[in-house]
Amino acid sequence: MSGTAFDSSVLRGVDVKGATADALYQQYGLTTKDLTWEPSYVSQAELDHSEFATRVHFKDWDNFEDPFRLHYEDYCRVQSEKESVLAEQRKLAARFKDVDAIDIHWLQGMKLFYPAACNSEAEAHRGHAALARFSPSASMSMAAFYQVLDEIRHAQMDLAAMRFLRNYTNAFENWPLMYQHQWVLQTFRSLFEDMMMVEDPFEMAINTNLTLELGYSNMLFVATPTAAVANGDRLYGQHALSTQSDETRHAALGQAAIRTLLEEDERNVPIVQRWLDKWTWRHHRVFGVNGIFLDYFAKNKPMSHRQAVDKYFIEGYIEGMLEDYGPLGLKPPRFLEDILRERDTQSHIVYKLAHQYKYINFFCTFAPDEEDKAWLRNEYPNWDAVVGKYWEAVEAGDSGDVMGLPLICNLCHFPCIFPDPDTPQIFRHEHNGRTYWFCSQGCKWIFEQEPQKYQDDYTLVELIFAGRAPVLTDIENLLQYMGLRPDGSSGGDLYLSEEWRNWKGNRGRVSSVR
Amino acid sequence: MAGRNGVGDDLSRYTSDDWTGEYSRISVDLQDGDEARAIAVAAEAENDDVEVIESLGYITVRCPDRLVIRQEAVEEALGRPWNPRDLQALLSAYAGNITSAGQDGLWVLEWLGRDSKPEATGQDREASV
Repeated sequence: MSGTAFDSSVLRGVDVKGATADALYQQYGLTTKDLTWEPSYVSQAELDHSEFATRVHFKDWDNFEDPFRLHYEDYCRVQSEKESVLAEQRKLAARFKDVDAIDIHWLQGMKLFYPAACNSEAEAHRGHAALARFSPSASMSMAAFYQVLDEIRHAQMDLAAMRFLRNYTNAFENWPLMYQHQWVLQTFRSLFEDMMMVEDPFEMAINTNLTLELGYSNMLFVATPTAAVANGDRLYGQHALSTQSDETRHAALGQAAIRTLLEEDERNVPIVQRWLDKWTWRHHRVFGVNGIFLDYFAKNKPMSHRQAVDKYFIEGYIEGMLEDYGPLGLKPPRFLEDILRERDTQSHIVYKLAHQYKYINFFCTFAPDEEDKAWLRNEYPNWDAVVGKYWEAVEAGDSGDVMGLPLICNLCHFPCIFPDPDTPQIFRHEHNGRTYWFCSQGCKWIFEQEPQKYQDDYTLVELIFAGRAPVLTDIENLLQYMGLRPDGSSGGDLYLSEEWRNWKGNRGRVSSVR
Repeated sequence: MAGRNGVGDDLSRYTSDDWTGEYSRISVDLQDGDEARAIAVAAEAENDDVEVIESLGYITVRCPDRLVIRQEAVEEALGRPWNPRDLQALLSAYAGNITSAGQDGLWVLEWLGRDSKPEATGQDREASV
């Protein structure tokens, strides 16, 4: 908040390639802290949004700095480089019909990915606009502003991919409505709305930049592209690596924020701990879905969900957290034992669920074949015990479809099928005369921490029982309500689908790539 | 890439209180290509116990405690000038803390916990509820 006059010639004509560290740092200073001001017409308290003021303790916000020291010119240069790689790739993909190389099984996973990601990224940009506006630190405001631009970029990349793929699939016809009503996507919508509607700007910095972007999104954006390329999908390959190269910057900001809060004042420790406990569990439940891309939609399987959890979640995130924040008083996330226990089962349970309700989905599912099963048994010695019987029945001719409504968790919107669908743990809770059900002690604990936030939320099944959504036997209307074609043709069993009959590209294991 | 038993089946060390730090590794995942390979060469030349692991689309460079990547060493391996800020466009994942992101021609990733004041508050987690 210094009064240095802004001299724009410092920005123009500075050759970044030849710039000294001093010049870079000077630009950073001019375009972050020097862009804020002391209000004169109103008080600082009036300017700050009372409902979104931070509760953390901090002496001087001017001391907080973005570890990347990013300034706008540098940002534009690096981002335009990333975008030009993608633009070129899209052009070539259209020209050389890259879509034919994509295995149709893998494509089903991408049909799930893009509408979920596009809407979630859009949600994230709204949240970070609030962070940019209400952060008490000028440096964090600017970093959040760049993040707003990043999240818009990501949402638009997802949109561009849907536009490209819609010539080959009808899955994306009503993607905004699907995000509002389709049952699988309610897990994502609930999570992202929860993340962006928090009481404290630093809670958002931690739930997005730390637990999501350091803890979970590497699995989706670094492990999964390897599987994508192994199944002929270079488009997702580069798309994801490019997305994640923004998220490393976000993660560095999240790490700097958490470290600063812990070091600054020990009263922050329990506040940060509660955020960490909550958001690690929230992200675990929803981003565990990533396992079905690696273990099921990928016919060529370069990495299992378990390996991805090991490398990115445990080694990259939990170990670093114990290493860095343990000495500052932070404990491992509260539900870590449950999270680690689900490492060997989550993908199987979620994929089976998607197959049981495939008739109200916008992506197709299919039974694993002999080669898939051999791989699954090798990677997961408990695979038969978890889902073996189900797939045996499907092989014997059972469709697997479940024509009844499941009990849905009032917090995460997943059916209560964990940790084992045959003997699920279900937690009941009474609050203000209403009964709530939870799939886990994690979800129940989160509800109990902030009941006023979640008490008026209704699951799809509750809406159906209340007559506010079509019933399951009124299937055409239910599908339309969810944004899907009334004939159900965007989901179902892959091998019985219109898409399978019409697909001109690869089917099964792509041999031309590793 | 980790084998099937990347971190093994006994995960109790992550939830107990006696974390020793002997397992953690600094790492960067870089989108593969000439620049990433040159960065790996530069990293190997200047840091101890560097491993380079190839995956389809990216390479992982990792080492135990601290990873330094110097602009001149990358330029030497690449055979042309290289702006260290460009590493951002290749960096798809990392483990550790980024304490220099190209400032002074350096990228530095390191653990910070060991230097922190060890006066852990020891607050019982229940206190936060």
